[in-house]
Amino acid sequence: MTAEDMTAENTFTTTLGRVVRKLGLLRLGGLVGAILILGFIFAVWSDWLFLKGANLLVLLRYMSTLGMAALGLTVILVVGEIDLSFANLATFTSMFTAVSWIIWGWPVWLSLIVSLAISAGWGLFNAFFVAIVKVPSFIATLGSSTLILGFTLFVSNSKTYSPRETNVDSGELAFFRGLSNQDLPGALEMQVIWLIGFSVIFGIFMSRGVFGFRLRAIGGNEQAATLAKLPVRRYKALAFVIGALMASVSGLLDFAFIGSVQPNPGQSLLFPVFAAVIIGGASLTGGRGTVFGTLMGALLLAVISNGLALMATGPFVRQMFLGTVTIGAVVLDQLSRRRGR
Amino acid sequence: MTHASADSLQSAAAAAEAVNADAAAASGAVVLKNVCKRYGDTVALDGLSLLAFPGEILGIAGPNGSGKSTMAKILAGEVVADSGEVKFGASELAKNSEGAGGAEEAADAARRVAIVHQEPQLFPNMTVAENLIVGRERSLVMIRRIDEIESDLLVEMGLEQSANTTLSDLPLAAQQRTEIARSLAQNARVFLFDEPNSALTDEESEDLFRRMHSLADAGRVVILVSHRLHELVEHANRVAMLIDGRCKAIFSGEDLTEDRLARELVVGAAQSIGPGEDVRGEESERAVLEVDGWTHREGRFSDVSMKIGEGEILALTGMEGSGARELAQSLAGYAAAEGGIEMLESSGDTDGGGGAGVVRSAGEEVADVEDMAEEEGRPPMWKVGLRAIRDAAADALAKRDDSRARLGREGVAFVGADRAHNLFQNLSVGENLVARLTGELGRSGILPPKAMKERAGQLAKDFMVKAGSVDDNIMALSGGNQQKVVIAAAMATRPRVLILEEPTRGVDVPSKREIYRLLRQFVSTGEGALLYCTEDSEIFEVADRTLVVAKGRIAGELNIGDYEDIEACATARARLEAA
Ligand SMILES: Nc1ncnc2c1ncn2[C@@H]1O[C@H](COP(=O)(O)OP(=O)(O)OP(=O)(O)O)[C@@H](O)[C@H]1O
Ligand SMILES: [Mg+2]
Repeated sequence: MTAEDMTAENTFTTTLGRVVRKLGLLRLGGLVGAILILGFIFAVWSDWLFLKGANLLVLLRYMSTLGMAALGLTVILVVGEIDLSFANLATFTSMFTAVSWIIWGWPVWLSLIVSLAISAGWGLFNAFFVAIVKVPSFIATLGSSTLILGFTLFVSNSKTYSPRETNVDSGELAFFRGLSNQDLPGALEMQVIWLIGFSVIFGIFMSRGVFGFRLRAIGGNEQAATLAKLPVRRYKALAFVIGALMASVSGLLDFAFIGSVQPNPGQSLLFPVFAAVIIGGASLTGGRGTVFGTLMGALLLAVISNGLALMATGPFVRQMFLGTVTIGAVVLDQLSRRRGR
Repeated sequence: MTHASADSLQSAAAAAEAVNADAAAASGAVVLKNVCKRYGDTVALDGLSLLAFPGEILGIAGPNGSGKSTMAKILAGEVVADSGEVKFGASELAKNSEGAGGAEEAADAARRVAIVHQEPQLFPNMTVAENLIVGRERSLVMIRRIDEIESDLLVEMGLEQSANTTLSDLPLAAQQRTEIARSLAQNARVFLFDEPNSALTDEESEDLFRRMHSLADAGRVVILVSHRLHELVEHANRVAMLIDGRCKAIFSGEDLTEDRLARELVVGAAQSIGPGEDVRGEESERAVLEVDGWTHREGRFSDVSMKIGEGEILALTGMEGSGARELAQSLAGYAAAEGGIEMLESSGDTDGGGGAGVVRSAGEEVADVEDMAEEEGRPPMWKVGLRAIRDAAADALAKRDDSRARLGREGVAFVGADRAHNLFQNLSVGENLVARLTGELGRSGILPPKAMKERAGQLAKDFMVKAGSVDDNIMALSGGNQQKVVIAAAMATRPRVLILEEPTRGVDVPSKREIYRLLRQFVSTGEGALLYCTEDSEIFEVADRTLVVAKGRIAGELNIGDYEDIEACATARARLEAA
């Protein structure tokens, strides 16, 4: 954190904690309100198509994809770092699973375990540069993001893979599909269950756990954390590993659901996930961010994407809308905090 | 009671002063009339009325959280008052400053009222000369050179040698002088000094006070906020006592004595604290930590042999650059690096110190740093030294079968002098208080909110932290109260060795005594404390023994018990430093 950041942070935090907290609730309330209002608008506009079960399922699935990766990114932002490589990493993990399983003939469980291990290793790789070499995480992960994209293209030969169309073992295929199918009552996707499960775990550890407390402390003031003998480097490394794993799991579940993986869809995840986390109230300067906020951010984005897709507005509208909402959320955030003074 | 009637006289004087406000304003005085400021439920200023005249130094005293800094910020336009009047000379700066005009006037005020901060708010990445120019560049194309007036100012402030030095490379005192020069260049008429010298050495403080006097002599209004009563008595013409956001009394002339101020402060804090009874420990034979041949990697200090005894409060003192500060930090396992304090272990090219030598604990040699280095295939010496210290402390705990050893504590807790490096600005008061206890409170991985809050509440009470609630954000506390939180958090870990830099910086008189008492209580069970202090009164009041460091060596030792009063102790220290 530079000196300027510190003073900026100071002017924002020199309000009564209680006021901040109240406004924080207000802000989340505002977010929930925005979701409801937008949902209503889309519902009316689409002749209630928006609220049809089938559509809500699509919406929830997108929210789950975003949300899983966003939970991981929240951890990274709270500890005061940034990760630009998670989206490309998620693609790589899926691609590696596909290639090692289909082409190299590994058993699927081995492919999955090795993929996730590589993903965790990638998190450590990022953390090494950030916490040990002390390269700013923006630069380090910008580089590693491009690097991993290169690996993806190399491993995949720039081809798309779908296990169904190959002669992989049918039992293995069933197992893989089972990770993320739609066989629950009401055709609810497994992905939603995964999201709920992870959210509960993250929620407990982030808000009540030693883990979350220390993350916030380190993200708030790394120097003070060092003096307080908090394990700064370990937590940074852990945050990057969690971020990498969550993005990879999100990507793998998507792969399992869709049934195929392309070499380069990852980047389409980068912005929405960041937007979800920021809209959810996490701060790019560290020390702030909650699981509930992030989930609501993911839901808002899912509502917008889904609603606009339903209206067939064309991709440019969607992009413009997403950009506006993100900036709007951050502006509101700053305003709400300044008012407390 | 005679002094009660004196009090009412003084408050009457304060009231009378307020009445004459308009007349005073005409003569160029700063007038505060019925100024109120609330932050949420906290009342920072509660109808403050005060006059400050050109040509005088007005001292401001008062307990932590009584509104001194808030008053300064309102005068300087950094904060807008809720109600009341602030007048300066003929013009009204802010009146019920809600409207659009308020902000503009406040900005105007900011230009004419200069706060000299404890930590200068300048551009650390620019040179001294550039700092003078910023904002008044006159041309957008070329960066101009400093003009004659500005270079005269630099000479006046003793900065001519450093005009082209980057600000962050200069000592704090020079940075403050740059701040004064910058304000003078902007034609500031009012100078506010909010605890300006709490991080300065005595020599630097004296220099700063001389400059305050010359500012006042030149007809400017000078306001000095300080917790060091003797400085107020010595340098201020009048001293206003701020208590609970109001001016309770004004002392001048005969009444202006340290004793009177102290009495008023203690009464104001509604706490009767007798003169601290002396409970200094006997000199202990056994050391909690002992080093021999301890040498800084870059030679800031070398070949130091010293020990911290069980039950002892040892003070280290020395001028900036003497190596005393680095020595204290190295013993805590930290050392100064660029831009603050960095953990020695952190990475490749640390600027830090540490050392080579022998570390002993409880009389037994725990580690010879050379040997350890040999065994471990020669890692950098300082790293081994650091580990040796930690091992020593942990060993000592384990030997006594202390539960702290099982908790995996390293046994050394450290608080640096720079408050910004000790606080978590994004956390609440309570969270800051227990930040070092997460391992203990959350052994299962979950932090029980109730236990956390109880612990925090208890600590806040023990250390007399004035906060609306422990849930408030830490930045909502006044400076002195933040300092108390920092010290409380470190002491709460109950380390084997507690190492504090300037532990009571910015803390009011009653709380200071309380902190000293708690320190004494802390070491009474056989722990050791090492303080790096620059204040003679602190050394005299709390330390058992003091090591004076000069030019990287221990120049001598003072046994505080041998001295009658602060002056005698200070003289002895100065003599050692000079030798
Ligand atoms: N930004 C803020 N938000 C909320 N409360 C604040 C804020 N700033 C100050 N306060 C409160 O206002 C009161 C006065 O604070 P102030 O900083 O003026 O005290 P002070 O007299 O300067 O104390 P100290 O001697 O400790 O520096 C305190 O109770 C403090 O908690
Ligand atoms: Mg203050």
